[in-house]
Amino acid sequence: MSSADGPADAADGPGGHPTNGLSDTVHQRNRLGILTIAAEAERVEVAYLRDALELTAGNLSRHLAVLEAADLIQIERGYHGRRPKTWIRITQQGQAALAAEIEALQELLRRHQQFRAST
Amino acid sequence: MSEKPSTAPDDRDTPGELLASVAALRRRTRAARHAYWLPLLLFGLLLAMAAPLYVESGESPGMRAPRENPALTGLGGVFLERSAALGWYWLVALIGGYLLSLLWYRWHGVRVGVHTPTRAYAIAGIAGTLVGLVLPITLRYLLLNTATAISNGTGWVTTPLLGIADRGMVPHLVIAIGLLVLARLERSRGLTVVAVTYAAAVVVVNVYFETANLQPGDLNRYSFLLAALLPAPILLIGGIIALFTTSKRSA
Repeated sequence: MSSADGPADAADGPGGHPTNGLSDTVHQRNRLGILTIAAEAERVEVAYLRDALELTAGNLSRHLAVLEAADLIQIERGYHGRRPKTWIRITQQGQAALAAEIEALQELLRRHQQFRAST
Repeated sequence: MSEKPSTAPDDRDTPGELLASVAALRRRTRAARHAYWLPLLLFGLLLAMAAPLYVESGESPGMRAPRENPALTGLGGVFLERSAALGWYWLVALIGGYLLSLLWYRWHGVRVGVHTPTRAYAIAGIAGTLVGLVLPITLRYLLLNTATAISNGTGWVTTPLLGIADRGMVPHLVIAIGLLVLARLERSRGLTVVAVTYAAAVVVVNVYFETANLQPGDLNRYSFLLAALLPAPILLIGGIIALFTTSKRSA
């Protein structure tokens, strides 16, 4: 995690161990899911996120607040006809954070596979 | 958490499982927002509806002198007998088709809760239509009214493009460009295949006209119709398959 501890192995290079690329904000499973879905669209309705991630409204709302506070998403509230709707839109920082998370996971997977192959 | 999502990543998962969950969520979201069957069917039908305007009367088209039409009918080409009517048809059909597609995506986005970014698609379509209006004028100017060095140096591109424009097939190119942009925005392999096949069909038809060294008597009243209609089934079949796949998924 970005707040992760411990010195990086010398063999890990200048970027350190790939877990250093994991962000606590993004790595949480539901927030990773929210960012993944948001990155696939121009904007996503909160009801879609609730269904896709099988979250309660309150739970989803807490995760959205964390992501919004970190400037990873923007929340738009409006109406469609008379029905209130809430949409979320991923920011550039959000796109970058998601890409970094995926890259770190891929690197971890690669090392894991290398380790298993060598044992 | 009280929930154990079926597709959501789980931070207790291994990196491989997390990445697989992320990929599954991506696929699910893409599938939900894919709505390209409508633009495919719409433009396929617009091509089919233009068919009567590509049919010539008995007079050999090769013997006909190019005619001067209003500038706004530039999409109709000058070789065709009904070029002015075809130009007006395509001006309305292309702009209407792109605006209708935009409204469709907007409605679909509200219905499913996931919006596809379509601004670049609309810009490509409308800008392509406007460029198509002035393209024949520009190409003819480059070919006939510039210094020999310029006209000779650009002839390899201006001559075939002017052929496409004169046969009233610039709208086909505008549709191809719009669909290629849409395929990128939709991140859809299926739409990419349809758009590339359609664009290739348009190019092949026009390469045939450019290289066949056709003499005036070789063209009959249906030659331009065949050229214009040949790529249409690709859009219609692609649209029907996409519609069938979407219906099956949502059933």
